[in-house]
Amino acid sequence: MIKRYLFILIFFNSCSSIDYSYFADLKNYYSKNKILVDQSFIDEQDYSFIKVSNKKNDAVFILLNIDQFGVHEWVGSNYEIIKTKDGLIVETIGLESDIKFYSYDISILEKTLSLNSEIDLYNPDLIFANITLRRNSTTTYKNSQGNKMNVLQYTRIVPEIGWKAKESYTFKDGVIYKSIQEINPMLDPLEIKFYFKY
Amino acid sequence: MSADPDDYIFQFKQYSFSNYGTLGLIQNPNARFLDEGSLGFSWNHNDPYLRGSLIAYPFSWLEVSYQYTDINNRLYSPFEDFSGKQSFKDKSFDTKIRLIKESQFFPQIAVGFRDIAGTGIFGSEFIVASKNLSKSLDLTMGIGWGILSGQLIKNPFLQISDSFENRTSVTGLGGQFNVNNYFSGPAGYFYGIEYTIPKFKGMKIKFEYDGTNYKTENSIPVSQASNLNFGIVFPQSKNLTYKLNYTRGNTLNFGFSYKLNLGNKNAQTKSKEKQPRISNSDAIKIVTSRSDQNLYRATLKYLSDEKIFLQHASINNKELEVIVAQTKYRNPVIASGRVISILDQIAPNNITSFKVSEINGGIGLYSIGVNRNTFINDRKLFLPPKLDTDVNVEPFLMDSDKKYQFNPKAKYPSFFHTIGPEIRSQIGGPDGFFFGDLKLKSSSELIIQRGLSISSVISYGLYDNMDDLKLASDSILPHVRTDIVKYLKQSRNLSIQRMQLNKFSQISPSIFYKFSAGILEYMFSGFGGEALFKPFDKNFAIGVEAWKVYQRNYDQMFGILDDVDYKTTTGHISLYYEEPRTNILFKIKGGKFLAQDSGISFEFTREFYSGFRLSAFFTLTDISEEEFGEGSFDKGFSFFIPLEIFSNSYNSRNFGWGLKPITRDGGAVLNHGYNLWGVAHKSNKNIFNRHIVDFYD
Repeated sequence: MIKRYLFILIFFNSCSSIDYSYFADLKNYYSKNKILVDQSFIDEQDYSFIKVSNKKNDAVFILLNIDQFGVHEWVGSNYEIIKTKDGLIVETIGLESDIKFYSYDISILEKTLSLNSEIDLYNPDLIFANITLRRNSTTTYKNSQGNKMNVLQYTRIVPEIGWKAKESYTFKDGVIYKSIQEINPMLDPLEIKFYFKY
Repeated sequence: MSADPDDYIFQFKQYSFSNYGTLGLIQNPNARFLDEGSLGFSWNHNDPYLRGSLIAYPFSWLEVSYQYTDINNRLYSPFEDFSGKQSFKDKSFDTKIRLIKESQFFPQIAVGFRDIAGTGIFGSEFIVASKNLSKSLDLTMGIGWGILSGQLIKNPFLQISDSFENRTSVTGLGGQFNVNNYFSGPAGYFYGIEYTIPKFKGMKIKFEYDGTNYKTENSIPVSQASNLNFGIVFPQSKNLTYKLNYTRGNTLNFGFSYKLNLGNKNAQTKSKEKQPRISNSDAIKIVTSRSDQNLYRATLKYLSDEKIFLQHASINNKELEVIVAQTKYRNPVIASGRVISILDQIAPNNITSFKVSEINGGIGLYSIGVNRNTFINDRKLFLPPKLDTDVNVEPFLMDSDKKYQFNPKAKYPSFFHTIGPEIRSQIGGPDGFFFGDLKLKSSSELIIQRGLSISSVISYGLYDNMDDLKLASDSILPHVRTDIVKYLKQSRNLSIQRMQLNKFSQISPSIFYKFSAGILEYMFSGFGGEALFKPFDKNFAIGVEAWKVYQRNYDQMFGILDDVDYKTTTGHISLYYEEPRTNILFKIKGGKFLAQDSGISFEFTREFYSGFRLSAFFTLTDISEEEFGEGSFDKGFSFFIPLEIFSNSYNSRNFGWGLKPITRDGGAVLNHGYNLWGVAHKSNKNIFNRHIVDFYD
């Protein structure tokens, strides 16, 4: 049976040969930026930075521009802007699709079960839609270095378009360490690792 | 993307593939099409059929597809000695043409043909209408003939002529267009809906009243308990879709499809690597202003960093002229734009214009000249330069007698070499479904001097399963292709696929020629040449070629076949016409083919903006259908995908795949390496007209 099911795969390969150089292109297409962020890499940087990655694209490093009342503005090499508050992306500018929260004062660290705001999405455009961030769980543990880690699991809900996505925020000793969240239902989730230099 | 919340609510909203591999409902077709330049693959198991399909959209109004079907309730042949217990395999071509585009009140209407020139097992024609009744609901209704006549009605074409009354079964060698059968015989109706569930990531529900006549489809009737079919479609992403259907009231079927739009610029990646910025440009300009020698050295270095290799350079009247060779950029507009960008960053300010010429294998392709200030100002404003005003593009003759001020020392002979795996396969024959081997392939090129090279491809077998492959040729023509089994089996160890000496040159900017000798391809050695007249600013070209060839030993080493001793002279005159609006290349090739048959081959190739190409061809020669054998005449299709579509960086490599439904001897052409059209195709002003907006990419 397996043989029969595989025949299409083989048929697709019929009469063709594969040049080794193709593999380099495929590797280029599928591989991700493997820059290792270790302590020496962090020490070499003059400014705080984030490492942003998703399933498909190379990881990019984005530098901190402003820290204004707890909202961090990160600016990339092509002038993309990501604003975060406690790891939550509250606004982006210049990405493939952007998002904007109307309420910057919400914090996922608040001890309420759900946070509400309005958002805009751009490309495709969705203006002034209600969004709810509902906390599902909080996990606390100590990592191998003895740091206190808090993992907050949320569900993002935008009823108007049926957007429902799970996301997580990890805090290390009370400071955002990593977040995984969608900024658009049509894109893969973004993983952000935060490296603060204070 | 459009600015519409519906894009979220009906995410991945796109039409899906039917069990026949083309866009449609479940079994029934519909009148929908994907964007032009799309390529799809569909796999479906609907017992007793297991079907793989390749679907292409050369235009937004034309769908063409190739189906390969395993029919598990029928044997390959009644003769067990011949094909054992292998199940039946069927190959077929389908096509669908949009007649009327959907409007607010009028449906989209299309006409289609299934199994258009095959054995006729799935042969049918249909006229179908589809209309979006809401953002979620798409209604389809149609009338079909052939196997789509399950729900009988009177054939409406009988109102026109009685000749539509009868439909005969397909006999003979297959591969022909049975025009007399089209829209003839009993007709039937079909209908159905496709409903996209809002806010459900594009999930769809399908329902249809099946128009298939399962009593006539295939020679062994398939049981049907109900005319109603139901299905669900799950989009995994905008490209990958799974489906689960319940058909005929008794069969659960599963399938998936994958499609890509490959035609647009940056079709699969958001952006490409930018033009290189040289960080210490001002300092370099100070150094290069001190002497021409410094400028030459900087040019050599910074172009080489971009894998663009300087061949000659001169500085005349404040113009810096460079002749370069490169294989990194498929698109000459991007290549020349990058060269000029680099020159602008390193040349002293007293240089006021640049001229870039590209050569390939000793052949001059084009020259592009630009005023430096115009380049700087246009780039600042992202204004595409105007051809013949801002930039001058002209043909280029590589004249070896011309003296240039700077001539980098070329190290001849130079040697390029790649090694990698190769898979060869023989699919769907009577001896067994799949035979193939895995080989290690070494491709190399020894450049003896500019325009003179030896190219070779040598492979060594690592693994194969070809012991039981035994199908012998039944061709009554010289076995120029049908001894494929002997070649496959006897070249399992070390074999030479090509070892060819090439000499390229040109007489004028428009006339190119090439001589080659040696092992020209896997079945033939010989010698010969070709010439190509290709005026730079015209849409046509004329080629002529002639070869004396000797059939090679089956072991694919240096010997020729002593017992057969087949040698012949083959040659063609080729006419090329490139239609600039649609970018279709029409090629007509007439002459004598490898099996000494004479005739004409017709080839149509559409090249999309990204470089993705779709081709189809057929060949008619002076041999009869009986002499040709199964398939009646030679035909096939191919596609070439530039690999840079999937990459953020540029490269000029292609993935090519071609298919002929059956290997026969009639209409066979010599596959010598490096044909002149391929070497010289960038010598074409149309490419600059089409891609000039990419000059600053």
